Amino acid sequence: MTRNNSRTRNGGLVALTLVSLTAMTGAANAANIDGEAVFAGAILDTCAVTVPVPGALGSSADATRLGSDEAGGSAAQAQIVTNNPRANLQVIAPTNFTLAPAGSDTDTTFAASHTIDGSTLDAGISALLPVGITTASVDASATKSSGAFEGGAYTMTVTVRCITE
Amino acid sequence: MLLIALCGSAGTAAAQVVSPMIHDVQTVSQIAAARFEVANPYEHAQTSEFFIVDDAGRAVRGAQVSPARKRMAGGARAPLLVRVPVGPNAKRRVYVCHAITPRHPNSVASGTSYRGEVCATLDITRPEH
Repeated sequence: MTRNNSRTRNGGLVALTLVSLTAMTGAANAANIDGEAVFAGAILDTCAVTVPVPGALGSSADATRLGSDEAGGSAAQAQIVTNNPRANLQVIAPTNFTLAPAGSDTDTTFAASHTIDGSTLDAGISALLPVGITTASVDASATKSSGAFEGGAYTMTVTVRCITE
Repeated sequence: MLLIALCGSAGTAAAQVVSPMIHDVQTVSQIAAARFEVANPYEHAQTSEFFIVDDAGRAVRGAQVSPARKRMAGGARAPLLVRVPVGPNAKRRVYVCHAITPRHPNSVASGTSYRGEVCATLDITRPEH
């Protein structure tokens, strides 16, 4: 009886071992089978301009100049996002008021500038943008060479341009 | 003190998109054609203007852009086709620009604080026959 039990136990042990070895072998084989998932895509280069903070105009004491840098005025904040290393930022000064009392455009010179990291450039001069997000302050002004600005509502448009050069 | 608001409408974030930003085209004909993709990432519909200028910012004579003006829904994308004349054995660079002067849908103001523009570079080469 003992001998039979021993044989049974040994046979069972062998069977168990064989099963274990097979399972282990199977597991090892599964680990060696690797698949590859390939991801590919073409990312177009682009540029986007946002102005989340609009500016405001203030007036000089003698009302001959309206500007975002005058008392009561504030600069606009522009945000540019690009993935192109050749993208540049320009601001284009207004050529006239889009809303103003009659005669406001007469004898008036418009100007604009932008500032990035403390460096200020006048309208028309480009600044190379880094890839990613750039924040720039935009200032604008209108100056009378003769006369003064009347009281009323004024609006002028500054162009913020992202351009590759 | 006279305080005037520079912004005539609510400060809505805005963006103009042109892709790709740099486009190289070779042509054997006197007209080079290129295709861009433009988008209006505004939340609301806006009117886009498209134009082609040279290094000096002047309109390129004989160049055509289609469409020249388009109203797109918020988030919409659209193709832009450009045709530019080029002489034989010549290279020229033009800029294809997308501009939006945003209008907030609830604003009664007639002006806005800024006009956003994005200009892509189009380099055209026409080899000598």
